[in-house]
Amino acid sequence: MSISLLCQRMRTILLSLFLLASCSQEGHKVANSSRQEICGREGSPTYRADVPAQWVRKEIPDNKSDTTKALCEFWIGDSIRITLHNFPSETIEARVPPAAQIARWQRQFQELDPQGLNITPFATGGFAGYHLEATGMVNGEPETLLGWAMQLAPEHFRVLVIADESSDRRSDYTIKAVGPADLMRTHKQEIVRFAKSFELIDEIQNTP
Amino acid sequence: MKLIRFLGSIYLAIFLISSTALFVIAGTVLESLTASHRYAAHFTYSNPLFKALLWGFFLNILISALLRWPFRQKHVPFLVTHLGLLMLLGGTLIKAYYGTQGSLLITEGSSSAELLLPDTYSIRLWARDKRSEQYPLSQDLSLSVDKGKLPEISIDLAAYAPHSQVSYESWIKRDQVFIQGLKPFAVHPEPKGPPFPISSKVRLNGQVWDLMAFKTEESATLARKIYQQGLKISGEAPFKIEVAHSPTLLFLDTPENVVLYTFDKKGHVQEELYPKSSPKAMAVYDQGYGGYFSFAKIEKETFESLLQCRCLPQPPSQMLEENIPQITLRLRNSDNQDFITLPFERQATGLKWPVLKGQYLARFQPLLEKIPYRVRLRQAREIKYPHSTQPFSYESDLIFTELKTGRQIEKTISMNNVHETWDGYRFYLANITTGDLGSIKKVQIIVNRDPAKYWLTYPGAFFLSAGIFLLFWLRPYRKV
Repeated sequence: MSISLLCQRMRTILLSLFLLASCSQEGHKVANSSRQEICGREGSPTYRADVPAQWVRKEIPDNKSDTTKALCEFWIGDSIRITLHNFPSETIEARVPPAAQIARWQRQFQELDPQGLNITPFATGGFAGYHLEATGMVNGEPETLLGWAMQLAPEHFRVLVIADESSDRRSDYTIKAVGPADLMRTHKQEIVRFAKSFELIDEIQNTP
Repeated sequence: MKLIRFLGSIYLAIFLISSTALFVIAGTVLESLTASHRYAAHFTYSNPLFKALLWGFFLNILISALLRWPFRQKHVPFLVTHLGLLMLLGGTLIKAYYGTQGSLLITEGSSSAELLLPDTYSIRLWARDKRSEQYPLSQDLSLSVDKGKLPEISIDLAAYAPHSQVSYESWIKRDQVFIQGLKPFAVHPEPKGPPFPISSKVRLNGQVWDLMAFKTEESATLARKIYQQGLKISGEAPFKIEVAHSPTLLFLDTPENVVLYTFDKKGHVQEELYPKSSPKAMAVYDQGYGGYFSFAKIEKETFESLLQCRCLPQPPSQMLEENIPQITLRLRNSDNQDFITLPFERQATGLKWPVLKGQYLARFQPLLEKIPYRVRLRQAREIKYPHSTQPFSYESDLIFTELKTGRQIEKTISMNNVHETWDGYRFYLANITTGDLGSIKKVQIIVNRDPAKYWLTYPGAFFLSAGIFLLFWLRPYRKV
């Protein structure tokens, strides 16, 4: 076999390999976390989220009718506290706008660092609202707050009202994580992942 | 034998290739002239002649290979190449007849397991007891009324228009204002000037309100004139202004909207807009079986008016994607008979209209096909280039639940990253409605299933590649 013929054949093989080659991407999973269910005000499991293994869950007693009490809390060590609230409402007009929650959280700082303040629109799982990241002084200590104030989209709210579903499912919700600034920086990614994974257990009917 | 030789000949191959080229040229020209892919496809790729060409290619390749009989070693590359081509064509034909192609429309937070099939029509009925049935309507307008889950109903197609203008009417229908519980009153043509005629009166919280209604092109200008007519200006500067008119409810019918103005005794003005193109926030009774109503809150009282859909036939456009067909149906059960005109709801998300005295709901929509997967959309997002508003990519986080086993898979799909299930369903992200930042998004996912992919199309592509490779490698027809 001549060298030129060999080169020609090698070129054919390489060309064939190139044509047959393809790439694929696999979905990524979050390591060391478990999917946990969270009950609403009516006591039945309503939400779910991926919770990192080292977080400690704490149930809140007597929270069924008092929306100032959290649905439940998670603790990272003794210093970072993540609280979940929901706010059932009978009518679409009675809901508190997410921007009002964000403004209230900002007022909880005695002194707010303007450079550490970031408010961004956020939507997931049929809810839309704002994500707040703020750093400032609380009781003389630097603290960081990561918060999500989320409101169910009006189209979903209408579908759930028409379907006469529980008010828990059409509730707005908030997720608020507060802790020392340096520790919050370390755990920021897992808190964000938790907030992004938070959703209703049962999806909302697609069409009215 | 002559015929068989012709079927396997290079002449037929040239004829088929030329005809295909002509189809492709015609498709390109038609699409550029009409800006409608559906119009072009109707005359070319979806045409039975085009399928006949595919069958022609199949026969030509098969017979040209068989004509080499008795096969010899030098025929191997040729035969492998032709086997690959036959398998590819066979796969294409099987996909055309038995494959699945459709789309899922999903909003963040919701899910779907039903494909909308393109270029199909059906009438879907829902009964109060949760039974539902779809009745396919073919392109030649024959309605397939298989009794199915609603055997008590019979449906006839009374009329059809290929295109219509759809509007939603509530307060004003034709030339009258309709308010639940009140006698209808007249809508006057646009007045030249004062005095402005009063159509009716109503007592509200102990006060008598004037009811007025006009057709107009400019609602704000006319409302201002009517409001000012009721003001009494007296004295010298600073003038004293008094509200001299009775409280008034003013309905203005413009080409795009019905505008409702309220002038109360203290001079306060309230304006509400009711667009005709899409229904505004409405009161829904009995999950739609009791009908839909526009409403307005005036002096702590709620006024309501029945919402109706009005379809006016229009000349169809060549851009088939823009046409909104309408149908009129006659529905009967043992107790009642009802006629209803329905516009085509392309995305099957519009209102379901009550029929047969609110015993059923009906919608005119594409055919739906169940797939063995429920797809839930967690989040869809547009990713922009850093420091730019230019979109870089679109992604969707989806949860696929296999209905048979309940097994769930979470997957992020994007424009060039599809999800494929073990049984051959492929999910492509086709579109995201971006909306405002922070508002929930809706995605369109194209789903297709090629039943012959793994045993014909992919092996066919392999044989074709291998055959071409062997042709170059062995060079069986080279002259020594």
